[in-house]
Amino acid sequence: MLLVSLPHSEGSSDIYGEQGRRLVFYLAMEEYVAGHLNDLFSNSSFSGMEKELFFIWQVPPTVIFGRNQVMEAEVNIPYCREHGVNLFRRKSGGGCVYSDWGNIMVSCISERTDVAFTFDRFLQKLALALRQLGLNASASGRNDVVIDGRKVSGNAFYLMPKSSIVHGTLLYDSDFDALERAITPSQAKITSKGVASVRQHVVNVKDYLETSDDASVRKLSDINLFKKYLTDFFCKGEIVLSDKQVAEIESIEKTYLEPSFLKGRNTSYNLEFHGKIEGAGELSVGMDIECGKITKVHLSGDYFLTASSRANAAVDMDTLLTDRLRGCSDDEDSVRSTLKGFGMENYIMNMTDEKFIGLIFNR
Amino acid sequence: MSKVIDGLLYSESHEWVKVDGDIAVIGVTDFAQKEMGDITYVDMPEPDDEVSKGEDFGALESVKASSDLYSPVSGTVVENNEALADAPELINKDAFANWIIKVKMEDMSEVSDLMDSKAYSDFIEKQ
Repeated sequence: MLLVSLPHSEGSSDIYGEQGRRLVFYLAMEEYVAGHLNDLFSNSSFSGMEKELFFIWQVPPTVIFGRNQVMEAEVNIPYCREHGVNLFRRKSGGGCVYSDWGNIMVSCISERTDVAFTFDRFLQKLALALRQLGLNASASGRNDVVIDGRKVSGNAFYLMPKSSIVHGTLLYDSDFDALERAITPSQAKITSKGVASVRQHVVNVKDYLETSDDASVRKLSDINLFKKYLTDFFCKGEIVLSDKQVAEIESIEKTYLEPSFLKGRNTSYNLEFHGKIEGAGELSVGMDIECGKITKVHLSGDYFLTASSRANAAVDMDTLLTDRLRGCSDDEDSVRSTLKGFGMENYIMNMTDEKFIGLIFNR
Repeated sequence: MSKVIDGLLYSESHEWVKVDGDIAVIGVTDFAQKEMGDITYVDMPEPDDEVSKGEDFGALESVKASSDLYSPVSGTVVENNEALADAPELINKDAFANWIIKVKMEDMSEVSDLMDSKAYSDFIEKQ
């Protein structure tokens, strides 16, 4: 396997991807490399060897969700906006991941298209890289590497017609509080037909390196030395991309920034909220959402209608709420302003608009 | 050994096409579904969307991988297989019975460079 790196003019640490590029640049770089494996090898002194390329990269705090995931069902969008966490969609499948400067993204592009073999071989090799440092690492499940049973790396496989991409995370010194917050949806209970993420216990590699008995391993608690160890472990040589090739990568990068790709084709989901409201009873609110806008509201529970509502056979809470909230965004401020003056107390005993909002947004 | 059906046309990216007048019924082959493993999601275009020969029109996601679907013809989508939205595993059960989209073809001569069942069998033999 060879290291594929950006032109050295991009800076001395360029092979490690610290030149301030966005995550989608590196996804585009994988795609470009996967589509040009033959050219890259035939123009190098490495023609004849198995065509496999490797690179590692890092990005500022970013959530990357899988190709067929519903963003709202996976990501705490308000948290990410507030904390400047970037949100991008990748073309490979699987669940969402959080990446910050403490995480190392690993990419391996191969001419092989046999999914099971290629994927497994990569996971085994990554686990071996960690085992050689004395860590109790192994490939686990379909796409993870674990240390002592805790996940340290999650990977996804993107099959192209004549090549494949395996890419994954390697948690080195990630901020797990931020990770947890960023990829926990803010809404109470959300369901969609999209692909759901699997939550697992995670661990940072650095925690093990720092406490190693072996001084040469302890040295790798410097992330740059660890990254050098990884590339040396995986790669026998290096292919450097040209500025022209970088320009082509930048044009692929734009496809990841298209709003329609970011949003995805699968944009509907359902929200469910349950709660007890003092004096009113136990209530459930269900909402159907399409493209972030409410399309339907359903209220159920052991609440009592007010005397005037009971007298008026035309009162149907679902219709009233749906008519009022249809087209409204599913965030608290939008719901509050759209519901202004609705007067829930006129329909349900001991209920108010604010209590209803509190039920939905967990206040 | 993957199943191949006579009378269908095949692409190198493992889609099959059944030509029915000016309509191309498109799915993925048994070889493709075996390679992908248990399919968990089928990303399909909507009716009236345009597709172009050789360009991706959707994707398959499985427990192991995701892979783009490439259109073997150009034209307009007339129908997608809604059953796959709720039951993507139907493709694993029978990749040939469970088509993905039907396309009204712009240029029927486009199918001439697709493989027949014999050529496709030889092609996957070498994979």
